[in-house]
Amino acid sequence: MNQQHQQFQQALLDVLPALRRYCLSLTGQLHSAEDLLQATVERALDRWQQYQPDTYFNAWLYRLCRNLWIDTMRKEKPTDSLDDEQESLGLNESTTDTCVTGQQHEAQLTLARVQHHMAKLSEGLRTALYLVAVEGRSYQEVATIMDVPVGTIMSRVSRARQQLSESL
Amino acid sequence: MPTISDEELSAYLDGELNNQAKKRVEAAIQDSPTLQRKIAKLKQADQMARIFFEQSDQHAISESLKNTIRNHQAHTTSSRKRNNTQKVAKNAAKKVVQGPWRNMGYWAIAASVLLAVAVLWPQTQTGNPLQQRIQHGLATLAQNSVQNLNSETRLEILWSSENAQGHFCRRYALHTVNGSSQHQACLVQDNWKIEDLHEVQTDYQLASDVFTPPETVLTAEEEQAWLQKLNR
Repeated sequence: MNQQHQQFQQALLDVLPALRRYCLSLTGQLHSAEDLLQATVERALDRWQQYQPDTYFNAWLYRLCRNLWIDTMRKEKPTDSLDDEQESLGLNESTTDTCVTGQQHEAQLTLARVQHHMAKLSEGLRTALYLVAVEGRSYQEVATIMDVPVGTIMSRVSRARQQLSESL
Repeated sequence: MPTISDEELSAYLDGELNNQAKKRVEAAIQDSPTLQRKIAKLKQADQMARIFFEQSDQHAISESLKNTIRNHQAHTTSSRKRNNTQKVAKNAAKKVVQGPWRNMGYWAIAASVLLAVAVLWPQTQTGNPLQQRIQHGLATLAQNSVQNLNSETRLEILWSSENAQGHFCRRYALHTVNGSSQHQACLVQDNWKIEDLHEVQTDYQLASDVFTPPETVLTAEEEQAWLQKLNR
């Protein structure tokens, strides 16, 4: 029991960065992703006894996270604007900071543009693109995580890329 | 020149095409500057996605969150569950002894058991022990719960929803060493009507109506209310 619990704790610690990115793919915004991460960890700890040291762990955790996000969405529609997000990243202040170099300024503008276009993608497209193009998962794995057929993943990833590339 | 769809082009980037399709796409890309530009743009889109997600890696995960995990005690959940179970059991017992049946406690319990058997009989008689365990899980487990059904099969409740007829439906997965399959069960007149959705697939299929959009999914509280109603 103790050994399994320790394994679970370690697995959860290891997956945190990826889980936070997944949260970001759902919420589209960093600070709400942090809240979702916190809630997901709490729920996962609450259900640690369901932990099985095998390949389903991440998929289980991602689904748990997504269900929590659906709950949140149903209760309150997020109202954060992109401006709020830029504020939370310190973009608005730093772009007016005279110490910022031209290169840094350009990087910040690029990030702001990327955030703007990523935020315009629907959650389903953003999540599919994240899991495939960033995490490098197969369509089949993503289909299992998102509970949709493989063909849906194929079409979502394609549409996400299409929308982003049109903004280029 | 063969027509290459956007989906095929995207799947090609992800290495998701079979050999024949891959060769066809590669040949078409070689012959078409338009497709070459398209591929380059799709790659740029991926780069945008990476930039977006890497921003979250620039902030360290909060120490307090890590400590929450590190300090978590193995018995926390079980003791809470035990307390909850005890509470439920106590309340159930209270109902029996405080109600009109208080002088007939044992008869009341026996009657309850008979009633439960009568209600559950049609469900539990509809299959083998594995199906019975699945049905029990459907009636008791919350979303994201995972339960071992036997040494080879694991049940995972994915989500719950209410269909157009107002029936309580549950999306679940069965995991075995050979892969996973997904199913949907709807409770119709005390019986679970089960529909197989998609097995681990080898061929692509188009988006179909098996996908339940988030707005039809029940929240954890709504699901809990259904489960309580079922197990009352």
